[in-house]
Amino acid sequence: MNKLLFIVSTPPYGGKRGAALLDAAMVAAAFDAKVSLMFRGDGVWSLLPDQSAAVIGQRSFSKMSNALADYEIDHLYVCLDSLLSRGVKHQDLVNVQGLNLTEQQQLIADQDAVIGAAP
Amino acid sequence: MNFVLAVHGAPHSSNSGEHALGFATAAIAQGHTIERIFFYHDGVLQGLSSQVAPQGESDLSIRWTELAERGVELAVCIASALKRGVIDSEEQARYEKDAHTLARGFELVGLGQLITAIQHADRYVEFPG
Amino acid sequence: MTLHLVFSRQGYESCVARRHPKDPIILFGDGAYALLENDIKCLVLGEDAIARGIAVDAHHATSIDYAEVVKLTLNHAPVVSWAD
Repeated sequence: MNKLLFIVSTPPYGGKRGAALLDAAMVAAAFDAKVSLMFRGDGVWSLLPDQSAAVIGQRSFSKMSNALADYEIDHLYVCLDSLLSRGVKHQDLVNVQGLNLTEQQQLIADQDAVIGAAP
Repeated sequence: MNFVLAVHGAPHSSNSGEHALGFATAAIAQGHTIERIFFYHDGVLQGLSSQVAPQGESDLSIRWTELAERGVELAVCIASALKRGVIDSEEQARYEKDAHTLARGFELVGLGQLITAIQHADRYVEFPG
Repeated sequence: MTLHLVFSRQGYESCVARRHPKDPIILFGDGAYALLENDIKCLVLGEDAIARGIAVDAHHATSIDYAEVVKLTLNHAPVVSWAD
């Protein structure tokens, strides 16, 4: 199985699961898997610009997600419904493709395996 | 068929371990192979050797040991494990800790072991915490 | 065809919003409580429903065991877990 979708659904700083999942996605890309990464639910907060997590002694999520391109993770998606219900504007986010619910269903169906990190 | 399972939840605060054990046992009984069970996030606490199960509650550690004896690889994510105090004797020596706490049958591995197992397997089934 | 494993009430909502209507759903653990407020055809791990006092027959659900869960994973891919 080589088509892998990683889904981040947890907030970036309240726990470390999102960051751990990004690590896994980058390892998968390094092992030549075809990697897609999607943010939904509270996970969409990971994509907000201007994060300065050093202030609370953590790695900045936005810096990590900027590094994703270097690891050849080309498919970066965000759930448009999750953005809308959380008051986040898609145009404020960089380099991430918005998907509606039907498109997410198709994205999932197209994978060999789906890896999440729910609480 | 060849399965990789992932366990993301701790014992006693999730059913992640019970569900993975139930699935693995049924799959083996049908003649399938469990290539590897990967313990990630709080799931690494399944491999903590110093736990004492309360009386009257099922002791998962016995069931994990049985599974390991049947040849299932119990792979604990080393990055998740170290920060939760789940360490083998090698890491105990490296970080000069008082005790090693990785239960018998489990081993510490890197994230690459999760990815390569998924790449080799036919199905990946995840049990969240 | 995708197989969905649901582990909580919120997981159920997230799953139903993103699944094809023909994709099967299996409720595990606290996901079984979703039966109480939803009238949707789905499968539930029998022991988890019984433990929680949920009468599977009173809803549009079918009780299955681990052996049947394994069999469903054989002819469905990917297998997706939903907990939040």
